[in-house]
Amino acid sequence: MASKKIVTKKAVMYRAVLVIVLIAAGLILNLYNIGSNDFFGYSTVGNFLIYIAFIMILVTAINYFKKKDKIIDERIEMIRYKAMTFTFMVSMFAAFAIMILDGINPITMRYSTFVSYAVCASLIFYVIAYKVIERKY
Amino acid sequence: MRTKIREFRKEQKITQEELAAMVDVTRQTINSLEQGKYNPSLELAYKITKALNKERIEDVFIME
Repeated sequence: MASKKIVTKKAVMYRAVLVIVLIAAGLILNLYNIGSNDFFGYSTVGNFLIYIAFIMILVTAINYFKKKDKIIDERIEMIRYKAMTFTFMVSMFAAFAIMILDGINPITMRYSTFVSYAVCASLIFYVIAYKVIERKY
Repeated sequence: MRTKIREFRKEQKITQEELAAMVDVTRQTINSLEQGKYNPSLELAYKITKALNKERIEDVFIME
């Protein structure tokens, strides 16, 4: 399937809605004092969400003003699929290794910290896999 | 799979970027096809054949 997808104003609108939802959620959490008061150095979970929203605004603005057409063709879709499969397999093996390590020496890390590390590691693996597979094809 | 994309492209004085724009893919995809690294879908093979003004897909893509 040869398809050409270009980042349009519609995509920017979706991101804007997501940013508004994140800011609203952050403000509501702050208003009702819900969540931890020591969350990754952002003082509250609400502040963290607002921070993420502003990062999204920055990234979206940079992409929008670059005005560079982003073409997604069948080769890129295949590379994405392979990279996702690789990341999934690595995640499975990592989960298995963590289970064994936890059995040997219990992990005392906070759940939120652990999940954030897991998400970052998955993203890093995905980017590495994408770049490696891109060279091959 | 071997392709004659580069050969026909040079004949018609078309750049990789121009051919990529004609068939709605990236320049890197055309490059991969030319180097035989990537096998295209039937749809893409057909589009490339038409873009290069050839009658049959087998004229451009050769199975080895």
